[in-house]
Amino acid sequence: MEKLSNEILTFLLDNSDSMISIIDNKMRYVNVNESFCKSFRMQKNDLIGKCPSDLWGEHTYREKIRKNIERSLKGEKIQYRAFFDIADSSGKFYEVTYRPFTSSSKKLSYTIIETKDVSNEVKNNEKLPHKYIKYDFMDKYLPFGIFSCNRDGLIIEANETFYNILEVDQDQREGLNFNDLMKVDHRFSEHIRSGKAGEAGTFGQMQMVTIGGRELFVRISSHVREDNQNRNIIDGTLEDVTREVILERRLYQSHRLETLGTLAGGVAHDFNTILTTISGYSDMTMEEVESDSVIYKYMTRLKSAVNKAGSIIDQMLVFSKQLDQHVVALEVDKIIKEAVEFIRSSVPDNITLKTKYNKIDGLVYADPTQLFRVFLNIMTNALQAMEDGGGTMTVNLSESLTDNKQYADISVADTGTGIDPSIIDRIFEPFFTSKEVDRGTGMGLSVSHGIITGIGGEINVESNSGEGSVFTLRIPLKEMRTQSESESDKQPGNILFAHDNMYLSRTLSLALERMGFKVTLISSARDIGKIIENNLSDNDILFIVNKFADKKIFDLLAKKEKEGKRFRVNFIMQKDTIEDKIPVYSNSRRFGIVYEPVTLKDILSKLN
Amino acid sequence: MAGILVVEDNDDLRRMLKESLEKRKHKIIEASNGREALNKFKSSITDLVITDLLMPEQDGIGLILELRKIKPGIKVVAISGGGKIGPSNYLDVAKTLGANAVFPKPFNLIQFIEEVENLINT
Repeated sequence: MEKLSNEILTFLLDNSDSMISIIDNKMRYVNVNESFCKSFRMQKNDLIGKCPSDLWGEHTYREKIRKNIERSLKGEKIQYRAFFDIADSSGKFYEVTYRPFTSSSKKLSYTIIETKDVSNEVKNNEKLPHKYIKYDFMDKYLPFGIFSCNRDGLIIEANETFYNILEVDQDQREGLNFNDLMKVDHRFSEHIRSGKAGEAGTFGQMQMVTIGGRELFVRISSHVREDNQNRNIIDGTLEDVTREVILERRLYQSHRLETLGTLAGGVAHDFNTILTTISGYSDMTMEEVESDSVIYKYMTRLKSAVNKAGSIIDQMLVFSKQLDQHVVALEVDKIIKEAVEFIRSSVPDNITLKTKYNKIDGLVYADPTQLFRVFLNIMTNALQAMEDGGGTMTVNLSESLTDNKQYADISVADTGTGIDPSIIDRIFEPFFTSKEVDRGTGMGLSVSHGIITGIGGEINVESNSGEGSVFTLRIPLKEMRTQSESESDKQPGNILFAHDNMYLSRTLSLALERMGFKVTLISSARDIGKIIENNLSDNDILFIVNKFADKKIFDLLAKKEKEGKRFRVNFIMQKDTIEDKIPVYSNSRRFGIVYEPVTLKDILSKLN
Repeated sequence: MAGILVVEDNDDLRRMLKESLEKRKHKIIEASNGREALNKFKSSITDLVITDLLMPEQDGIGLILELRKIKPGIKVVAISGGGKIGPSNYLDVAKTLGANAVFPKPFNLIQFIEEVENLINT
């Protein structure tokens, strides 16, 4: 009878749905049941004598199986549940049990491993005893988070990446809820709360906040299903898209500001027209009344207000880059130091001023007065943000290299109130900051933005509400050219600059001389003839404003060429001007054209 | 006393210029765009034209060119308030093309009228 029941037991074990294997203390299979063979699609004879590493891979064996076998051989029973797949079948939940067994002679120890499919059981549980995302690549290495939550927002399950993105420590995971991590209510919150089974959605650029308090943007794709107790479960993926959002917003903002610039120009025109009407009628009124009358006095006040309005329009046009700037090559550290010293006297006692200036190797092309005002504007804002609570303003100057181009980086950081994220995208807009126009330097950030971008630079801000802001300016640097570093084998000779605008001429010549060029200024048509006749040398480069260029000059230049002199001529012209003179000259010669308004950059481009 | 054509698309400003010049006994003809200006110019005796540079249909610079074709010696005063190219650039171009004087907005009315009358008398 015992033999029969043993046979029956053996039969049962052999045909049990569970996979059963017996392993000796040499880590080898001594026997396996039918289910085991079926699952691995191998014959019993091929399995006996093998090590679990042959079936599961060296890695899984070393990391998981061997330890358990060792412990079990020492007498410990181990049981756990995990999600994995066997051979080609898709993943399932299994309960794995290691049972120690010692032969009756107590000489040989074995471990009996039983692997039972518990998928059905597990599917009915909302809260799983173990993470079902067990593969390393899904758990840790996928660059996005995976989660399941219930309709209250409670996160039931998530992979490591999910917790990493949201900076959730081990001990903070229990009871973690999406609502703790959302800054504002989103369509996603709605989706979790009241989505119906089968509904799916992608929620892009959602603002969340990590446990640590850091703000970030995420993209969530999720789907609602029902468990078999008709409870909603929301499964989804979560990607950190903060970097993309910031880049996209910067691009949008700069495009928007460009559009606004164009708009600003149009608005400026209309405004100036209306201002003309207002001041015109004031003038007409003043003509009708006695100059000592009260009406006359009121009209004077009116005109003064109109003038102020006019200068605001001018400043706005600077933003839209329509007013000429008088650009020179300058050492940016001098300007920033000047601005800091200027503002030092207005720094109140509750604010500390820190500076760090690194040496800058190179010059910046900018209008010194405007650059000074930009620095002042930003530092004034920083001080204003710390008015009530005090704090520290830190000004840094350094150099950086990006894409083979050199830049001067200036940062102004404050520990003040910070800028609200809802308006931070708009602080460089002209109308948005018009309130600021009357405070401090009278220039809004929009004008500063216009000036910096006008010289090829960038201005950006980062801020956290309540923590302070950092404004960063990045301005392109040009190398100081010395004779020995000149790239062309022909050194440029003298620069002859003939223009009737003396301010322009003087400004440009100062900049060019600082860069090592020799400049001769000519301010009248008469003088040009004399200079060309007597002072023209090889490799000289001439710039002649259209107004001064006539047949006499052309003939003179032709004569000098015949004499063998090698020089270059550039004409300075208005855009849209009818170039009727030039063809006369151009038929036989080459020449360059520089369009008004002339900038240092234009001149330098003709010097190579 | 002279015939002055005022070309300006902003109604208020045009009226202000008309009223201030009529006070000085000048005869004013109005137009609100370049096309209208040319028509009225051809059918009247005008000594001086005041024109804004940025108007719909035919901008001021085009108008100046056309006016000079009809009456080469006509005196032209250009005014402008900005726009995409910028007040300074546009006005330089106007001068190059033969405006006798340029006034960026907002301008002082008294000085403006002085210059207008100066030009009429030369």
